[in-house]
Amino acid sequence: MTLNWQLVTDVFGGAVERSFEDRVPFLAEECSRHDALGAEVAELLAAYDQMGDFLTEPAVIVAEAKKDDGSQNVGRKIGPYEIEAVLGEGGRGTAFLATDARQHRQVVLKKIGRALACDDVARAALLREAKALTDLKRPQIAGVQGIEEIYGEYYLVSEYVLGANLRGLVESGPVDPWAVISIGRQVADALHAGHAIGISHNNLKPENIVFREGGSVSVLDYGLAHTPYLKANEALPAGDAVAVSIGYLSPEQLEGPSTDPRSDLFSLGVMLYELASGRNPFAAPAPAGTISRIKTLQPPALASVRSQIPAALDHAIMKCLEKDPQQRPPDAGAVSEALKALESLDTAGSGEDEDRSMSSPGATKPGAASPSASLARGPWFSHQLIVMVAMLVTAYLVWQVEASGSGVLAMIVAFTTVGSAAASAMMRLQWLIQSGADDFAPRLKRMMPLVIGIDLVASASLVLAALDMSGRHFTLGMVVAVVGTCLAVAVMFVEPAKMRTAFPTSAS
Amino acid sequence: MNVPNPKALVALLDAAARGDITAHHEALSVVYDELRMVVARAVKREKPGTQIPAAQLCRESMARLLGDQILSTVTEAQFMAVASRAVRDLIAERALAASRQRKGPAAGDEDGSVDVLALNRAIELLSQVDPRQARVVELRYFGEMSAEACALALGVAEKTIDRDWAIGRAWLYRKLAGRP
Repeated sequence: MTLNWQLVTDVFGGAVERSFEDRVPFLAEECSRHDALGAEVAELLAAYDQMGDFLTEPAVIVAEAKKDDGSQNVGRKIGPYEIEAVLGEGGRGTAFLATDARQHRQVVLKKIGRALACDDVARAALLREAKALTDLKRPQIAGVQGIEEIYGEYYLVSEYVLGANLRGLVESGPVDPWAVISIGRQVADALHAGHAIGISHNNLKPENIVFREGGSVSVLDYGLAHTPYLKANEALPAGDAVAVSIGYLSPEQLEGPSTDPRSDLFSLGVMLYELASGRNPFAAPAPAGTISRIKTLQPPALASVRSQIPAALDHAIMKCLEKDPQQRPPDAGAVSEALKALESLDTAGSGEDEDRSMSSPGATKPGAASPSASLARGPWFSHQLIVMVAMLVTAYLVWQVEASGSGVLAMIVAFTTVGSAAASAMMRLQWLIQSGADDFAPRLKRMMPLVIGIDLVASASLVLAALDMSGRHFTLGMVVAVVGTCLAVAVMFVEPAKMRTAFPTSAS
Repeated sequence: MNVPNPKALVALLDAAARGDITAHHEALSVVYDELRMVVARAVKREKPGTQIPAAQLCRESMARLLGDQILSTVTEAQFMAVASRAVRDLIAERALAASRQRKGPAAGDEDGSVDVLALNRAIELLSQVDPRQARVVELRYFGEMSAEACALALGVAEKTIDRDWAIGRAWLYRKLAGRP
């Protein structure tokens, strides 16, 4: 039978308000005609007496060991921004990839720490810097769009640069000296532009250098590394995870906040040394070791680590790594000039770029980000030329032999060969002419399946022609068959690899 | 959902307290989102194993959502009432996620006092018997609200709150102790 709960509550309430001795007569009276009610209230009273401090200790949330990576924020909206993904977690908070609903474009959101957010003067200074950097409109500096206050939190909003960062390249081993020069020059240019308006980066590391589509590099994270906030305790964390980034600090930064722009040159030097040699000169198993090495260790000359490194590049990098800022190049412009001189020397010195970049283990490693498109386009360029010439010459030979012969099959084969070879050659010629365009990589990617198809038809008809003619012209038939097979292999395997190297983003 | 400004939220809380179900859901959703962020941050900030009072996190969310305006005790109580529900959901959600990670039934709180998931289910059952009693448990246990604040939020006498709290606890205790 069902009980009237209101009645139970009333009787229970009346009972608990009475002393223990008064309860029994109270219950006896209230429940005299209702056994079930009496039983229920008695049971609840028993529970009441037993439960002690049950639920009187308020609820708690227990901080668990599980690392909170911010991923629970994905899909959330912060003001006009919808969080799409967690980009990374640094010592200074989590960075999110978000879409700006107002402008329908992707941005990077980083929450600014309390210390900075609460300091009006510093925030205004940071805002000024952000604006100044944005006004520079340098492709090498990823634009800071500003600082926004959303529900009492401050977020640094910056341009999202799609592309691999330098870490991948650094990890993949030593890089071709020419790539080191090109990257170094672009970063030095970016630093110089910032220094010219009084802004140092102060947190230069491979993670902050990103390859844009087309192969040029951009420096990220300007602004967050604002000098007064690189406090000693922030710069010298105990955890291993951050040891990577302290490896790029200058000796003076380890002592305390540095305002000398030449501190950035030291960090640049460490990065370039690592790129060229394959290892960070100051890396140690523990952060304390890294710190002492940065302060005291004189890294061995690059030429002694890797013989291919030109003496002038070695000199330029080692000069940046001087412990005393006074001994380093006077400014980033000087570094850029030095590297630019090396760059022109390099291009003037030889016309066979592809051979050198091919022989370097770092530059053409598949999957690794391309150091600079112009570097890796050499092999791609010559590949196109070779395929074009091979196609046209062989097609001409086939035409000469087959078209003069009789038989429908011979004619079909001759026409197919010449037609597909001409189409393929035309496509490639068009590529060679257009390869400088900005949006060339996506176009190339779109056209690739078509060209593969045409090339496969061409090589198939070459092989057919070879079979057909081998009775009369055995040697020529063999040559045509070999060319046809090589073409098929080239278009299926060699070309995609070269394309990925030449146009890194087109493969992603 | 966009976060309303403090004034709009106060109006929403008021409407919710007067029984507007839509307003209640809207306010709950806003508070829940904010609370989740506050909890995520707190959990990250504290050492693993630290017990953070849930009510403290509710109050932090209140400060962030309602700003530094001077709040009436009624508004505060109305906010905490919504936040208590939000924190209950959040705690249950976290316990569920943790039990899934352990790939076994939740074995009670880390300190062994209350099985969070069982308690949550029991409160749900209580709310079918007497919604207000379940609500009072929610406010007092999860939001650490005083009887006075509960009375303001629910619009009943303090004596009624005391009675609901007593029988609600006894009912839940009996339920969790395994009796019918």
